[in-house]
Amino acid sequence: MMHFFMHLHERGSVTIDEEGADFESETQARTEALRAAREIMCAELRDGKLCLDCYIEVRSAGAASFIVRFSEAVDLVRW
Amino acid sequence: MTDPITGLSLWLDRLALRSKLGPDEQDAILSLRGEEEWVKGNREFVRLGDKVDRSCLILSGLAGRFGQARSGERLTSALHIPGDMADLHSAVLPTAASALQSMGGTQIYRIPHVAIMDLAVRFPALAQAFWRDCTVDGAILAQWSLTNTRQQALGRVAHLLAELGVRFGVAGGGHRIEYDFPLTQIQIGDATSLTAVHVNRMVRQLKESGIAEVANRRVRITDWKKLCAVGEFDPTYLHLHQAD
Repeated sequence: MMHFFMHLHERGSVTIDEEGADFESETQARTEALRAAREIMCAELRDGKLCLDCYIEVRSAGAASFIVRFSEAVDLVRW
Repeated sequence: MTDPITGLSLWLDRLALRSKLGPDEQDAILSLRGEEEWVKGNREFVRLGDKVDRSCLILSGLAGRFGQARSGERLTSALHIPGDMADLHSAVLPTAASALQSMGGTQIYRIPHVAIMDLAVRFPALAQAFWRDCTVDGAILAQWSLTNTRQQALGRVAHLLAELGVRFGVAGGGHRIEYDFPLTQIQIGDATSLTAVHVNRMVRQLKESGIAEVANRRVRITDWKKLCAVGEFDPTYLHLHQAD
């Protein structure tokens, strides 16, 4: 198990994750970050807003940090 | 650590909120005897499918009732605070249809069903009180179902904090604006159908709006009226003071 912190970056505002959570792998942490990004986008959409440039910065002492952008959490389809 | 008599006394307070109980009935509750157990944080103490012969009174800490989907995602459908008999219903339905878990370190008191059923037979007023107690748990579940499907994230977290404020404060005749809250972000998310990242975002919003702070395993409500407004919290479903 590795402990990951997920800091949320929204238009210059950062919600620091001081608690973090355990995941078995970086892949699992990434999956959770994607799930969170989609959930927050859904909530924002209910208010008629969508920030595709927002992102979740995932940090861990035992693994390289990475970023999950909201834009990579969805497939955008335009007719 | 809480001694069992104090725990039973808290449960009696909960029962007496909704049912008129005479001295004999009150004594009967306080005379119940069981087995104390300390459960470390995040441990199941009643597993799905277990056939149990005792009900669990929460003496200290906090317990959750939960289910888990095949994906591993969990849903907490109830939180039980000290003085709650978390699975009173198991006295009549002993096969656990959902699991009970400690949220942080939790002290429980397992009371034999035989003793509970004996009281229900000897004291019809207690049988009704037990029935009401289970009904209130059902009412809370119905409210959670509404809140966590029809409200947005901020309202869900606000509702949870307001409900616990009332449930913790009820013995003092009001609501508590500060209380121990051992839940992690993940556990709050399990109780509100939100991801931990989203919970953290809402906790920040509540703090920045001057409504409530969740930090260091404590909740501090700074604007009760706003909290209730944001959470659309109306305590009617808790059926408080029905014994009057």
